[in-house]
Amino acid sequence: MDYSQRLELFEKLKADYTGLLTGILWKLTGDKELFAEALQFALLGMWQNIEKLSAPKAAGYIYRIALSANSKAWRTRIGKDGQIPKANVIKNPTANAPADEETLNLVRKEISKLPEKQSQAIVMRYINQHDYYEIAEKLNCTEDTARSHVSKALATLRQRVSEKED
Amino acid sequence: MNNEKLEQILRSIGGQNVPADIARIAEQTTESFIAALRFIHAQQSVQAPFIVGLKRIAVAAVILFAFAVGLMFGRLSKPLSPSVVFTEPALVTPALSTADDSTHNFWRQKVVALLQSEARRGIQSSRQPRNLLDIYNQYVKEKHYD
Repeated sequence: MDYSQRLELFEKLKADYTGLLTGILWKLTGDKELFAEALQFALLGMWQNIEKLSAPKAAGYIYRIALSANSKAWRTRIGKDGQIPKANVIKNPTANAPADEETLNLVRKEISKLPEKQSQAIVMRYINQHDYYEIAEKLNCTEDTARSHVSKALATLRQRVSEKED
Repeated sequence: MNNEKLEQILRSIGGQNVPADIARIAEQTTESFIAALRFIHAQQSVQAPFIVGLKRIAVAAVILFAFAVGLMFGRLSKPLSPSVVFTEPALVTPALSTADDSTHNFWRQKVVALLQSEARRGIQSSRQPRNLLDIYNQYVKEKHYD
């Protein structure tokens, strides 16, 4: 596939996946700068893996790219000062948040540190509200394995968030 | 923190809507990324023929230079001088005696013939010719027995 063909395919994929990528990355970052950075990583990942994304069963692959980009962006941010600038956080007035912004950001940060399959499973389950059948299909595994990924991810998150809160 | 609380937090994160300015940022980022890709493509397509042409000229120049150097050295070179010089042995031709000595005439002629044949053979073979003194001694010995 030459460059012009890749470019054409990329524009087509952009139209298909930009909405999904924007939603996932915004929810996982909660910060303008971090979001922009993560989106750039995700676009780069899409460009580098364009052949895989154009394959028939590529739906799960976009999650992999999104979560990898999210982790990279968080690592870059944590490497700088480990804190999210308060000025860039956009408060969502419609959200009925059960926790303060600090806890939400802590959970987001810990999601970025989870193993790949676990972070994908938890994002599909709780951020995008997929059922286990869909998660298993996208992760290319059984439903039991998908449940196992979600429960392991929850356990890890609970432990890490509790440690940080104490 | 229990599992329920954590699930509630996760669901609340998932329930957030994407604000309008974030959608705009996403659009701008995507467009600038594609513009960068297009720019790289345009740059590559302009540079590619120029680089190919430059490479061809460089290869031709190297070939011509190598040819010119080869030609120059070829014209100026000389054949190698042999390390072993062959010197032709001098032909020893004894002068014929003009003395009127009938007693020794027969044997003198034999010695002369022998010397001439030895000298002829000496050119083609590396064998050393017999010493003249030995030949003469042989002649005197044979004469004595006669």
